[in-house]
Amino acid sequence: MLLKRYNINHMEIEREKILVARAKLEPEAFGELYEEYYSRIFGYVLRRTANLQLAQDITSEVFFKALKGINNFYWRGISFSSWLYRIASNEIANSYRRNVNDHKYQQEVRTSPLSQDYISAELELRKNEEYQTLWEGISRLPPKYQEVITLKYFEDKELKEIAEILRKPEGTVKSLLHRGIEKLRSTLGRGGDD
Amino acid sequence: MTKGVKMNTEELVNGLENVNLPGMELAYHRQQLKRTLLESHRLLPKPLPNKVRFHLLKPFIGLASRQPVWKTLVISSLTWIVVVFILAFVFFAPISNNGMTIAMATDLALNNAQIKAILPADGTTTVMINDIGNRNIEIFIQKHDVYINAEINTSGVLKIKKITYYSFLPPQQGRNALTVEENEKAVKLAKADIRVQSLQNTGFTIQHIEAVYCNVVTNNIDAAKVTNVKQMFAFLILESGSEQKGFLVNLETGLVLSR
Repeated sequence: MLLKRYNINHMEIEREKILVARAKLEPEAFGELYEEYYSRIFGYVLRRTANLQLAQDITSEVFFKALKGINNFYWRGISFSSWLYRIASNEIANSYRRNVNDHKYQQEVRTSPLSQDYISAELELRKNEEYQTLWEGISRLPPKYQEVITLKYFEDKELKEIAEILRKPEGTVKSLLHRGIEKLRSTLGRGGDD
Repeated sequence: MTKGVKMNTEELVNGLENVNLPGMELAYHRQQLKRTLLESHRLLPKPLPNKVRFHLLKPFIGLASRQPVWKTLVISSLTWIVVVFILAFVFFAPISNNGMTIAMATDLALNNAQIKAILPADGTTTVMINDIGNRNIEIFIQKHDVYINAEINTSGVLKIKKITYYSFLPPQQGRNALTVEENEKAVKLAKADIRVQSLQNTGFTIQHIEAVYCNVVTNNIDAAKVTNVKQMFAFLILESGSEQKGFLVNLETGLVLSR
């Protein structure tokens, strides 16, 4: 399934705050948060990596880190969803340094690459040429530009939220975005030869 | 959009805004990951709600644990060994003029039935004991933000005099920013705390400071009096990567509490 634009209703902040407080004690509440954010986080990681296997592993890592860290998550300065995106961004950056088989649970929860589900998803991912072209260009940029471009254009995030996720001033995000677009334009214009 | 074709910025931004994005999911991964997460959640030590008091929990602590008994015993034993070792190492010094050591005071405190009952069943907490002079000690149980003031009498019996509980109040309307002076004082007090120092040594930095309000319930056993007051604290969040640690700083008393 290809989405024109990936819009999901934002959970009401107050409800989310209550859920986060409950999730520190109750697995069911953590399950509700998981259901709310799984698609967004998996989607973000997939759009950043264009790799189903990696997207599964990184998403697993994000939610395990969230589970381990939720007792130390405080609702100040950053929302829960931005916190998840921040973990995801860190994990994407770390993923190239890590052995993919580091964690046993990742293997247990992976979809088999031979399953029909996986093959169909892989075909869907590859048949979108326009996205593939953009992704190839973006993936050649330094990570700091990849992050701002994908968060802005693929995740529809406002500058303020991107700043919150990346822990950078809004002005810095704006200039990174501007420079990133210019670099992407030049990369695509060269046909990705560099 | 074609590779190798020159385009202007506007065309590129248009392309980015209107591209069809992959939004597929892998149902198996989604379900399996949730199942594994929920199983892990059940095994994680849980923070106790602020309002729960130890005397209510005491009869149920063993029963409420969802961990296997052997695991709890192993974790508890190891934690005790670590706690006693650290305390003996850091605080091994005679209590003023009484010939008693902090190690002995620690032993008394950790074997006190009331204090044992307040400790989490899984043993995952830090207990700090400070000599405050004149045979009096202050015991801090980090996990529940409980301070216990006690006296050790000449016969070596530990008598609890005062128990103080701190619990966050919901965000207050109005003032939540500190003045510049309060901000500086909070940072200075926090940086003097050994736990903050050790976090900073591992790359944590102070990312956020604001005013928060806490309920401070004091049970003065000697005076048979319970007080409940609202106090303002500076709340500091230290971050390293995606990890966060919170500290409450009482700007009047200089008390630093880990949250």
